[in-house]
Amino acid sequence: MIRCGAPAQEMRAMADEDIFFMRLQMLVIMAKGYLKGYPVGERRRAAIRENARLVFYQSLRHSDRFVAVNTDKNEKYDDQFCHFFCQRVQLLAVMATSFASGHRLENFRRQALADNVDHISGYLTEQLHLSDVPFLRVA
Amino acid sequence: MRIAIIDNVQIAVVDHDRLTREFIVNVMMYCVNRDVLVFENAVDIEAYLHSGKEVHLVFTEVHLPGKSGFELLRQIKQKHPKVCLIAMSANAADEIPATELGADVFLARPFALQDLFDIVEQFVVDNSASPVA
Repeated sequence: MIRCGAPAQEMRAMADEDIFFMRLQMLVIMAKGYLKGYPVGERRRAAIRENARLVFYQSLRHSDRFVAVNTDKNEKYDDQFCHFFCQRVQLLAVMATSFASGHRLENFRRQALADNVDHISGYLTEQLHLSDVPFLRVA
Repeated sequence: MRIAIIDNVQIAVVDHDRLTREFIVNVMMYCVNRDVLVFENAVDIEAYLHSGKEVHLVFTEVHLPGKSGFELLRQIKQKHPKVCLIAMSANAADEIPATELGADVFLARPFALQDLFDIVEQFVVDNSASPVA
């Protein structure tokens, strides 16, 4: 038997916020996969659109919790930071909806997506890389 | 080694908590690029399996309303021993009974996205696929 998840002493019910930050991580992975040219079938497109939709709306509810992102950085986390981070998350959701709907992102749009992904993932406490999930290269 | 997802893999998620259920479904659907089966209680998935349909991997919360996830684990393992069972719980005391009833994975809440990826890698990716020539 394999055990994964939280250590025994840290087990608890999952909060909305736990799910939101995992959805955001997943959206970052989805966007990185798109930028790398990973195959995107119909189900993956549907999964991206659904995840983007929920991240967008949940970001409105959790915007004041973005101070929970990486606090190791010596930056000031104030209302302005939370506001702009929230805008970046919503922009990522819109971009993801766009490419998952079949709109090709070329040149500057592609660069804007890459920049936004880098910015957001740089602040997430738990870093996930595409190399950690090699099976996403196949559909 | 060529990476391949098991052909026509069927993944089922049984959880009455909508947020967690929909999240796992979303991640699994993206990972395997296939539809994922969704059940809110143990009775519904049992009826599905009883009808002769196949499932490879079942994520189930152990504390379900009505028939418990423990009972579901026991029955599925007894009737469909090849099905891979992932027992989810927020209570550390559930780990031993879940294991004894046949769970292949104990997924302790709160889990991380990487845990779900690890489960896919372990149980859904076909590592026996022939190498690329």
